[in-house]
Amino acid sequence: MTENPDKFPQTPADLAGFVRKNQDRLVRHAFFRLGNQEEAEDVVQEIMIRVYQEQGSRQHIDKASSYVFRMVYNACLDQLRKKSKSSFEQLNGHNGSAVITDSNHEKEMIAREEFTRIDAMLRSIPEEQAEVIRLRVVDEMSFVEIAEIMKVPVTTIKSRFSYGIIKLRTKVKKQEEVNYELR
Amino acid sequence: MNCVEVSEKMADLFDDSISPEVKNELFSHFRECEECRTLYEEMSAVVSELKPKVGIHAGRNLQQEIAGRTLSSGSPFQSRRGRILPGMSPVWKRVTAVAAVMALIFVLFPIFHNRSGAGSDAKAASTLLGSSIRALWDVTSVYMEYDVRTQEGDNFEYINMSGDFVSHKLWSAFGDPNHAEPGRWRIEKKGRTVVMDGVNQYMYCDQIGVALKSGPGAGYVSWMKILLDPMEILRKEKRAAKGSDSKYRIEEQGNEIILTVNAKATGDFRNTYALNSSIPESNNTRIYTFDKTSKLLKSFNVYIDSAGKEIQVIRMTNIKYNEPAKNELFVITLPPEVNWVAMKDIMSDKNLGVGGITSDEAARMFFTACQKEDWDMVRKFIPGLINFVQMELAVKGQYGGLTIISIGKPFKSGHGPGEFVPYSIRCKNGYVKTFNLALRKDNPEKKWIVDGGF
Repeated sequence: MTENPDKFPQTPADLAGFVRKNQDRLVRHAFFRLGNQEEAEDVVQEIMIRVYQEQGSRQHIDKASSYVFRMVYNACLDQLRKKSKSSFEQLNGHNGSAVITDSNHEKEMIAREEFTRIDAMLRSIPEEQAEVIRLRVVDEMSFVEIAEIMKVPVTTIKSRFSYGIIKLRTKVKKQEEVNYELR
Repeated sequence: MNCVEVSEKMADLFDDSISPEVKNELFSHFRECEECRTLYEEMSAVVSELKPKVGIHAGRNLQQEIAGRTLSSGSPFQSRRGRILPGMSPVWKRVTAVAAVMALIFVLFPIFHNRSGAGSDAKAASTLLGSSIRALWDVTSVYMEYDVRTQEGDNFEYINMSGDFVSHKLWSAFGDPNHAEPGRWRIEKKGRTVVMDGVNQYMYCDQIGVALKSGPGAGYVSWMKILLDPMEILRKEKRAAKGSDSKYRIEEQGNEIILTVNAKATGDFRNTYALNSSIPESNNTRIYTFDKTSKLLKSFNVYIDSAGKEIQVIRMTNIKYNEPAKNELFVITLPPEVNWVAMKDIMSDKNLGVGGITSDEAARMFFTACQKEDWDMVRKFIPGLINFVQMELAVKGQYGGLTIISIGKPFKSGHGPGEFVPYSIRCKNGYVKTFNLALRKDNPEKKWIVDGGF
């Protein structure tokens, strides 16, 4: 029997390999949810620690990378919910918008600007559509994978994607018209 | 395919799993139908617009940090910055306030908020970081004694530059030397004790009869959190230093490794009132000394730079590892007249706070209520007053029937989320008090509550 290449990490060495293979994708996902590299890495780190702790009880999972992605996805959602409740963090600009408070590094600034740009576009459409679009376009997940994560049928995922993109297209067009008139 | 079928299949064009046959059919339709083609082109343009134009990658140290924590972290639920994973317990925020006259400012602020790039001795650093120190030495607990320039009974965060040293004791039990359960710990000084029993945090201020209970991530001990796990200090300091003006340095001297962190004050200091009132709100130097052989922390000292003069504000006097930590240490037994009150219950009181006015108006309303002995109104301003009899008696005795001499203009200073309002009052016993009332309204209803300063 060949060994499952995507098994749940069972040893520190497994975990190291798993982290190496998945960390960029997970941090990227968390960054485009939270708008902050450090927070993104914190979430990923916490999940990886939990993965390590839960090694024994998760032996049966055969698609570990998808499973862990879902853990990070849920952790980011939790964090965003908490942030939206936390007036302190709103005061400090950590309410989902990208306000640079802790770093002046040019690279981070550019990344955060990019987050803000995409986030602003997606905020203009219903959340469930934005969610599908984010996972497809930013995280490059297939509709089938998104359906698994969001626990809705693939057909629904595809509809949400199309409706969302069409809504954005209308908004982009309107904006272009406004820009044209302002010239 | 007709237009309806095409619109149903359109999304597939944006998924890599589309079959070549379907793709061909769709494009055949586009050749004949300009409307559908235009729609597809415009959708493609939107998708292209949404694609991130920058690459985001995990930081170089992430893997190492994860490995380090799985090997050496005593409390795997404890993150690098004291943050707890969402769903476990929220930390990375300030909770809405409580009365600071009773020293209940729960400043949930990261330890040593300053961050920076740094020049470091890589070899010494990796010596400290690289191995599972706790596992290597089978460290299961730490006990330390240290002195802080502060006030008895006050917040653990509070630094009083001109005050005397107040003795502190800390016990931290890790359980399994490698990882596993959340740790249990206790920090105490005269007038205030905080215990984490592995599930919740409990704070008891015996001088004012206040007993509060919160989740595992409560910020009752603020920056002192870093001392709870001495094996994680370097990792946390490195992380905290990332990307700010502060600097850290690691050097070997004889049989010691010395980590020195020079941190800048963070906060708004256009008014310097809060400058040097806590470690994060000061320009400070933190010096940790580790034993070169065992890699264990030996001592810890903090100096605050005040007008060019370095004043020591923390000095460690004793540290021991693997001292037996009895279970009783992690339980606080209250006197019969005091009961634990959940912090969330206090803060969810609908009657708390007064909104729709400025902070100086709120200050005047508060002192007027004290003057008129309108205790229902006073309770609106002071969280927990209704819950703790002893605290209420103290407030009534000291402030009932006061006379307002003046209320000044509000200002902001330091990290505090609220405002300070200067005031001068004459208490019933003739004592004239001139100070700054701290108020905040970072609650969902934006209502002012008193956060300290009287």
